[in-house]
Amino acid sequence: MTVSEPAPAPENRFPAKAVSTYGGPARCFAELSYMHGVEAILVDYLKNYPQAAPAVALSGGHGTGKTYLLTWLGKRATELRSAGARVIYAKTDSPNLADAYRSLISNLTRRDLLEVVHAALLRRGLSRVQAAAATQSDGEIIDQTGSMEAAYAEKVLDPNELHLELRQTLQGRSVATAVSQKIAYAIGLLDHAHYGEAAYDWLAGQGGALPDETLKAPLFGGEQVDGSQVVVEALETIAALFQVANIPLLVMLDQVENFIPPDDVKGASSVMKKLAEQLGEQAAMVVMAGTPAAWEPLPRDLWPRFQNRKAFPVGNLTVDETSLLLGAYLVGSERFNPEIVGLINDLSGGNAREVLQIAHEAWEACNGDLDRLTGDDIRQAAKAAGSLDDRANLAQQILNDVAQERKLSIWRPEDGGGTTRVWTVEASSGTRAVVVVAVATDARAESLLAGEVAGFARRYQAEGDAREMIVVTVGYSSEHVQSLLTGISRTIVFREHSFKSELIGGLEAIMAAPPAAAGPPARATDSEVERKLADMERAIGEILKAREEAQTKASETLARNAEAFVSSEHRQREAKTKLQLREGLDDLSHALTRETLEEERHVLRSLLIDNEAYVKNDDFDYLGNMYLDALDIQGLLSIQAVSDPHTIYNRITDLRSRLIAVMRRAITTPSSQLTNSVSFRGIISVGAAVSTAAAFYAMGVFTPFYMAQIELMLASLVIGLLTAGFIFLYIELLMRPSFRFGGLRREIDRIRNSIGADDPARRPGPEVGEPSPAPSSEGR
Amino acid sequence: MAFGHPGWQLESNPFPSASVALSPLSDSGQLSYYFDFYEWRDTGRVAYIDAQGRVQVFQLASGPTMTFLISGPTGCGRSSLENLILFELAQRSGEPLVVSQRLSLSAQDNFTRGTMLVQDLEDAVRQRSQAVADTILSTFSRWQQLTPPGVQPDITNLLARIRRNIEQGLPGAPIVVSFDALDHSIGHDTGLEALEMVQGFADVAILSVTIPDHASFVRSRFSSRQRPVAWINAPRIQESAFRQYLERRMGAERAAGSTPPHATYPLSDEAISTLFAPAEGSGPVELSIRLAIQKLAGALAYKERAMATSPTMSPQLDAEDVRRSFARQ
Repeated sequence: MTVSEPAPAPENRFPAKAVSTYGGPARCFAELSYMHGVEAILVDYLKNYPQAAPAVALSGGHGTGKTYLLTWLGKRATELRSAGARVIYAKTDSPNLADAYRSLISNLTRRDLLEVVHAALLRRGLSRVQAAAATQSDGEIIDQTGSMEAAYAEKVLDPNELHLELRQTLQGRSVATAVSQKIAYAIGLLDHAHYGEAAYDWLAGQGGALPDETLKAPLFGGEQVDGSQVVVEALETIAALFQVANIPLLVMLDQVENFIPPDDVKGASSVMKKLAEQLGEQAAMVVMAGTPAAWEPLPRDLWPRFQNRKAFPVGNLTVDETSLLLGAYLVGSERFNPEIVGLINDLSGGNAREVLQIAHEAWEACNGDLDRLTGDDIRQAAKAAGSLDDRANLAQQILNDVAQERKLSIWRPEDGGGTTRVWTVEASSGTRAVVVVAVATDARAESLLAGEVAGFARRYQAEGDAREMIVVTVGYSSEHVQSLLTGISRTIVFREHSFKSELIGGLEAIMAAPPAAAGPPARATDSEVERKLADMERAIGEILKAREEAQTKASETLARNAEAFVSSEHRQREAKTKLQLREGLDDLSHALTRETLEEERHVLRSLLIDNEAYVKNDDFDYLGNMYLDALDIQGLLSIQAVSDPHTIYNRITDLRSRLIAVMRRAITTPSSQLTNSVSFRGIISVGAAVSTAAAFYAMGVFTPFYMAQIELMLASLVIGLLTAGFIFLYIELLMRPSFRFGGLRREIDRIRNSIGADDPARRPGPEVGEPSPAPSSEGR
Repeated sequence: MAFGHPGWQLESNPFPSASVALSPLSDSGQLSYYFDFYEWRDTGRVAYIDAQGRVQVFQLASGPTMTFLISGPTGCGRSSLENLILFELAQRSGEPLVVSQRLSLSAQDNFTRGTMLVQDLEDAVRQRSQAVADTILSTFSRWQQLTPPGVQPDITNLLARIRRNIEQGLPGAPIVVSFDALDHSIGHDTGLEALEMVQGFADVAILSVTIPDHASFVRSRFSSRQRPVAWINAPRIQESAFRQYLERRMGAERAAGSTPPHATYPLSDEAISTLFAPAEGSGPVELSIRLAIQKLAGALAYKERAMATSPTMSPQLDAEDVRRSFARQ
């Protein structure tokens, strides 16, 4: 008879410290209600680009989700394909705004900037050739190929002139030309074969050796004293480049509190005003995020520069949202009692990071048995959920104290990186121990940390140094990983009240042993340790994988639940947008009647962005793009010589009119979610398959043609499968706009092909337009 | 022998040099193709082209280097004008020794620029006199040897020595240095520095730039230092000027004894207007002379082909012919 061991406590589901990193691993985003106000501003900006560029201030305490919101906004901006926006983000880590500038520009590679320069030049080149009937066909080639090489080769356009004009335009956009002149010049050098890379480095504020006198001094430093002013002017010129290229630019500055020195609030405010104003003038949207304490002391004259004349509050989760957030991390039937959720929400003030930290501590307190939690436990957990860094510092302080008390030498031979700090402790006997203080914010971080510790052990092993390790974990800690680490080290989970005694116990045990002999260890021990380490690393790898999956799952659950939670809000917004789309189609119809192609383009672009943002109707998107193609053909009509332009004009106008009607229908009666779902198609296909197979089988049984039973069954099965496949594919095709609106697409193609096809001089032979036409044979 | 369709009444091609710069130094017959659509900004020094293609005002400064600034985008006749200046110079002072240098970001300092210039000059001189070229080489070598290591070489000193070599070996041959500062990647000071370097060395210095502002900048600097400078801008051409040009060219190539219905025949007024027609909503159109001629030549070729398939078609080019030809170029 065996005694069953008690089941191990489940791992803590919550991170000890929730941190969102901009540009970090892409996970699902939960749309919470506080995000929608800012999103609406972003969509409006993109729709109306380049008419009005707002500046937005976000205010929220640490952990409220400012970085999370900025990440989401950046994602939303780039998701809206019709807008084609670019996003640059910087976290201001110091009062030196030049650092933020460097960080912002690091979002753009040289290739990215070259693409923007190319787009800017292309627009200029296009507007030049499209201004004259004689060169409109060159414009068509540029438009179709996205290249001006042919126009350059034909000397229709002068690349140097375009570059120099662009440079002058960029210089002219800034009031103070000292910096903009240099920035504009450096932008022009980006495509230089030898100095392009150096120009990019210079532009990114990294120096760069350029031969021209103008750019010999770096952007920051040199004669320029006021770095903030340089940053504002440099960003303004770069924003101007984006505007010339017609590319919306979203500039996001996180943690602005770091560049507001308490002794120069006025100066910082002035810089923020300039950023908001000057970038706004170049049609770039600026979003700045900071803590309420950062915004509070800023003078009142700052606020007229920002949207709604105030900072948008970030975070402040409602009780329901707190419940969603907590629920996303829980597994199976685990759940918090609603009163407990309410209390967590109260104690955290709706701060997402604090919600999770309290939950982490609460989990520790009850060992995962959430039903046991009381109000007092939660209040206690809220107290314990302090800063991990503070706790790590405290652990080090205690370690130093213990070393001093026990007369042990202690030094820090190396830095273990961002999460680990490594100390070597040596007794007078020469016996050494390594103490690793490691901070783990969550389950995934703990796994990574365990991998690092295994790395240390492997290194010491390779170096023939048999010193023992004590691993002190601060923050997230699980029994599973602890037990693995025990195989190669002594592990202590940092708890303020018991840490000192546990540390002394561990050190005493190590120091009591004789010092390890120098030199390589015996081979047998070597291979044994090696095997142990390899097993451990494998196990850690598996844990890491499982935890990453769990983390992703939590994000997805939160996103799903949040979506369900805000679905009524979504529905309202979608309904409102649909109404706007219908009204927009009326505007489009009026623009069509007035025959103003540019207005049609503008209205349509705005409608497509609205649709992408809030409705996501694929049919509308497809039809809208077809409409754009029709507009291109209309443009061609004014260039190409056709025998019956009137008829083609009428056809293309009529087609646009019909497209508007179809787009209206697509908005009014979209294909339902049911028909869109894969399971629906599956059910229909299976249904059809069963019916067909049954019919075939029945036919086989009741007709005089002989067929063995087994063959009949097999044949019925094959026919059923074929029918299912066919039906499934057919429905799949039917769902695709390109299939359903194929007729309209073909009509557009036919009209496009018909242009120029009836030119009497179109036949093989020497190209016309050669500079010196050869004299005719008659003339000779 | 006629050009194009016989009905056009043209003896020869009115635009034989549409894609290359005119060069009267190599073919003085090309003078007749010049047309004065240039903007002469210093009419006291150099101005106006007459019907024979000669520059009417051409006042070279005696002593100091005369600087010509030519601005304008590609295809607007910058190189043709430069060649005309060289031709006028040759008429007055003998065949010039011409050195052309393209200013680039890679060769920014005067030392690199100056030594490259001397090497090119030595090549140009060698075509006339091996001995003088050898003297230039030995001057260059001596100058290099005399420059102590680590000391900034004095390029002005080198150029002064080379000039003396040329004055002694090829007396009367004016030295012309032509800088092409069209590359957008060079800074706006580069042209100025290059011109400064050859002051006193060259008899004539020419700087070609794309943007008029850059020429204006150099001109104001030179004027303030009392240096002789003349700026000519080569703009894009407008319809009225092009029409005059066409009348001149068509008249010059008209077949003997023919009686065309109008001066620009076979180009109708509408055809010329179509060439300069603005797109919807655009302002007046200006085209580079090269592009305007190319488009017109294209229209003539198109018409010739169309007439080959429909012999009854009128030989005159109307607006529709020009429009159709645009689509095919």
